[in-house]
Amino acid sequence: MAEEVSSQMNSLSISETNPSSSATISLVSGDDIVFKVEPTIAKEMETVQSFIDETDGKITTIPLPNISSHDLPYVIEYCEKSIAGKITKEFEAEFVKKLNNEEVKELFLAANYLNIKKLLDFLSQVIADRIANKSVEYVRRYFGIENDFTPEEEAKLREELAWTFTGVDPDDEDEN
Amino acid sequence: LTKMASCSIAAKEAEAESTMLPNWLDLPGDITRNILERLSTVEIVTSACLVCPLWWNICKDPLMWHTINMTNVRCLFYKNHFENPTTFSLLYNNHPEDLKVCRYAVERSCGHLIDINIEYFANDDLLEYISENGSNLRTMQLLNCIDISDKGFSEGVRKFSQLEKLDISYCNLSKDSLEVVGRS
Repeated sequence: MAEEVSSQMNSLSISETNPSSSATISLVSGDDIVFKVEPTIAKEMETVQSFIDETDGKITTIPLPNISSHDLPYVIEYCEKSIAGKITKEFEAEFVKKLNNEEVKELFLAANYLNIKKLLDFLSQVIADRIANKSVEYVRRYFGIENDFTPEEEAKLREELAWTFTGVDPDDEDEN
Repeated sequence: LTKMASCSIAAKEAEAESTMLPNWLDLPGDITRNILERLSTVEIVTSACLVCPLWWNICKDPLMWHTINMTNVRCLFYKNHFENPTTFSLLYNNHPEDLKVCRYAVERSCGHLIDINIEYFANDDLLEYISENGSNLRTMQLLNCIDISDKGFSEGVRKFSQLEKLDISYCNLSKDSLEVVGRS
């Protein structure tokens, strides 16, 4: 296992950091890929920072089992921009263009897990935009929410709200 | 290498505890709420509140309705096509549903209404209803609401003692109505 991780690191060379520098923080994704980041990046991630603080900075390798190596680079990219004060509308528009619905949801959960307020707020808006003007069924499918209203309950609520405008967008099956 | 090995073990252990990201419904309510609050009022009423019992309960909270935003995509679409607001209002062909949705939202806010933003469809009746149920209103935007009369406007606006910001762009209101606002 040790060799596997090490070889992955070599082949990926995720960031150019000096191996002797003890200041960098290693974030380990759920699929065991190590991402070396500057401590300033870790500060953006409250969950990571509090872990570091609790151990008086002695532990600099943080396992993030809930976050995949596919999603983590996006999170790091956003945090880097945030520290540099370069979160612009243009950056956000470009950033979100790269993400399909599944990725948006995964990143949202990652941001929640890592407790990155700015990213969470941004992704909340992205998700709101993506479910805006969609049908109830579409929203359920989007979130994978099981409808646990009983048929009677739902019929009653729908009847109660039957007068409301029903001109939603046609459901969009394309997940991108 | 030793360090890497130990980290890998730590990761595996943590992974054993929880390999899956949480289900949406297991997330804290305020996380979901943060998304729902960004939807327009029409979207909350017609879609979000019916998704599941949990979302219904989130949407039942009067504080979810302290901001009522009745502008929406349809308006933006038309607005891009018709620069002249009067022509637009006629073409927009006021949806009676919008009036009902807005009333419903005001009712839901249980007096916690702080900010309301309406384009095009408001009329005297609606304004009266808002004034009777939204005594804490601070901000009101009535854009292009040509159906509001001077009389309706003057009577309604008097009751908003907390009002700090009012936008009545493109409404058909006279100088006298503005004086009423000035006095109250």
